[in-house]
Formats: sequence, C-alpha cells, structure tokens
Amino acid sequence: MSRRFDVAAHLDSLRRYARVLTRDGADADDVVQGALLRAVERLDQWREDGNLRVWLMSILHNHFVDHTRARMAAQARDGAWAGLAPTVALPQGEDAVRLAQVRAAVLDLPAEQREALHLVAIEGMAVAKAALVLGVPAGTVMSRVGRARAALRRFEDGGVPRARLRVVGDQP
Amino acid sequence: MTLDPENPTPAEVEDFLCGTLPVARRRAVAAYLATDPGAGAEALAVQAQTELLRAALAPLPARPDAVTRAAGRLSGAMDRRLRLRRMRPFVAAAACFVLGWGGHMLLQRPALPAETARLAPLAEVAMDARQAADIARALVLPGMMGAGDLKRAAKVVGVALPPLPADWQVQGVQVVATPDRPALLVQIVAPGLGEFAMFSLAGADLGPDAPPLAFDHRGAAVAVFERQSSAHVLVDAGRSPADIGRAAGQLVRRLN
Repeated sequence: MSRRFDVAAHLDSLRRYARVLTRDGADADDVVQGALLRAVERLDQWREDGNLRVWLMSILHNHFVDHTRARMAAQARDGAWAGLAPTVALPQGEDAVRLAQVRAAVLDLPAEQREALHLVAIEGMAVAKAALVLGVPAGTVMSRVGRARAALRRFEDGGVPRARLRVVGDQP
Repeated sequence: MTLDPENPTPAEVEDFLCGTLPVARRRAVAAYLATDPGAGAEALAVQAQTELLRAALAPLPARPDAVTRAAGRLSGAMDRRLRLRRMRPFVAAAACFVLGWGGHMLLQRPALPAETARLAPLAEVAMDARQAADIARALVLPGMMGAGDLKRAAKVVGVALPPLPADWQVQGVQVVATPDRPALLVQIVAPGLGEFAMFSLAGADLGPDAPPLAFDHRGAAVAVFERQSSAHVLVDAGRSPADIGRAAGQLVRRLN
C-alpha cells in the first residue's frame, strides 16, 4: 500500500544519526524505535506542510537527549565505536583502515560538534534545518561544523588517530 | 570566508558544498568560489572531507524488524491523521447544514409559546363557536344561514371578510356570541383541506396586519390573522397547523 508519509524512506538517516549520537549500533536502533513511538504520540505537533525528515530528526535528537544521553557512559563505548557496524561490507585493506580511523576521529569529537557535522556533512541537511533539529541558531551550527571540520583536518594532517590508552592489570 | 552581505555566508558555502543551497543562490556562491582562490581551495578541502565522512559513516547494517514496524506504524498514523484532517471541512459543512436546517425549522415553527398564549383565548372562543355551530347545524336549529347570507351577516357584525377562493364552498354561516361582541362563524369546505371553520371578530387588536400564525391548540389546528381590524381564526380538528396555515395564507393574499 502506498503511503502519503513514507517514514521508512528516512529510516537510514535516522539510524545513521542515532549511531552518531549513541556511538553504539544496538542502542542506536533502540533510540530510533523509541523516537518513532514518540513521534506517534506527538502527531498533533506535525504540520502537514512541514519537512518530515527534519521533524523526525528533531524528535530523535530530543528523545536521545531526554532519555538516553544521561544514562549512557559514552566513554565506555569509545572502543566499540571504531568497530561499529561489523556487518556492513566496508572496503578492505588500507581503505578500510583509513575509514575506521575517520570513524574513530569523529568519535573523538565533542558531542555537539559531532551532531552538527553529521547532520550537515553526512546527511546533507541545510544548516538552517540542522539548526531546527538541534534547537540552536544556525550560526551555532556553523561554528560547530567549522570546529569539527578543523579538528578532523588536523587529524588527517597528522595521519594517526589519537592514541587510546587503557589501564590494564591492577592499578597501584 | 567573509560575512559581507555581497558575498555568501559560511553557511551558504557549506550548504553549497553539501548540495542543499537553493538554486537561486548557487550561482553567486559558485562565482565567489571561482574568484577567491583561498575560498576555492577551502571549498575543495571541505568537499573532499565530506566525501570521506560519508564513505566512513554512511553504511548501515540491515534494518531490525522492530524499527521497520515502528516506521510503518508511524506512517499509518500520519496517513490516518491526514485523512481525518481532509474530512474536517466536509464534517464542518455537514454540521453547518444540520444546524442551519434545524434553525430554519425552528424559525418555521407555527407559533412561539408567548404568541400562542396571547392568542389562546381567541382560539378558545372560535373553537367553542364552531362546536356550537356544528350542533346547531346538526339539529337544524334556527340561526343557521346559507352561503347567500354571508355578506349580509358580515356587514351586521362589522367584520371585513376576505374574499373566499372560488372553489371554496360555504356550508353555513352563523352569528355567535363572544364576551366582547357578536362574531361570525363560517363553515367552509375547501379542496384538499376538507371542512373547517372560519371565526371572524371585528375590533380585534392583534397588531397591525398580523401575519398568519398557525399552531396546535388542545388538539386542534388553529391559524390566526388580522386584516382591516378584523381577526380571523381558522379551526380544523383533523389537519395539521401547516395545512390550516396555508389556507390562512391563501386568504391573506386575497386581502392584500
């Protein structure tokens, strides 16, 4: 049955953004599912002439901020991030290593920069619409994107991801 | 990059590189990047970085069924809501029609309670007179006059009678007593209406040329109107107020 509002067409965007927010594949899909249920509850806020993707992304963002971010130990997931999406067929060899490094570098970005960069650069969302999703002025989005891009460029220029040191064994 | 209003903003350049800038501004941004080597180089670097980010972060594993089902539920809910929204004007129009028709019917009611209460004594007299006339006619008592006596009887009691339609037949005419003055009772048979009585009283004061007012009074259909200071009451036990009201309207038109 053809639908007037095709939410499924925006699922990939939602899932990608959720993975950037949560930095965990399983949690990301839980967040997406929760956001979709929240959208059903808030249908009265939906304007027929509005942008469906921006509305869904806003709900996803707010759902994450309200219910998920507080309970997530983000640093505990740092290690898992680099291996995110193991079931995805990624390029092999050096390319795969480089892409994994890029993902790790994105992980290292502060959350605000990561969110803004993802919406604008990866989802191809206009700055003004990303501002609506994030609930901040467009100028703030732009400055976050600028800082994120500069940080990634520094990483690319260095060519080596930030070292991740873990304490192993008994601590003194 | 500059914030000069003559030149694109950083946000516009970002939107241009991501392909989301409105067409109207694309040419200006492209010209700006072409004429400013520094900005052009920066744009190329941003573009290359964007492609790298998309390659690294765009791929996704297969969708979990639960997420797909949740998306389907949301789509269905949105479609249902849209259908309901589109039905709203029709529902509102139907409600307006029902309210309007109801109001129309209320306005068309034969009489308002206050008016019928004011006319009730007159209707009572007319109904009593008709009952008396029926008895008199049944018993062939003296006092019953024929149709030829109608004009003379009307003149005697001072009633301005409306001209009766040609197909109405006068069955009997009688002068009847009322608490104020003598009145005239005319028994009529009209096509489509059957037999009914017209009670006419001179010197009534119902209001200047009061229009016909039809109502139900103690099971009888009654229509009252006044012309030329004469009140006329049509009484019919077997018809509806609407029927007797139409007969009254017919008489009023002949008086006007």
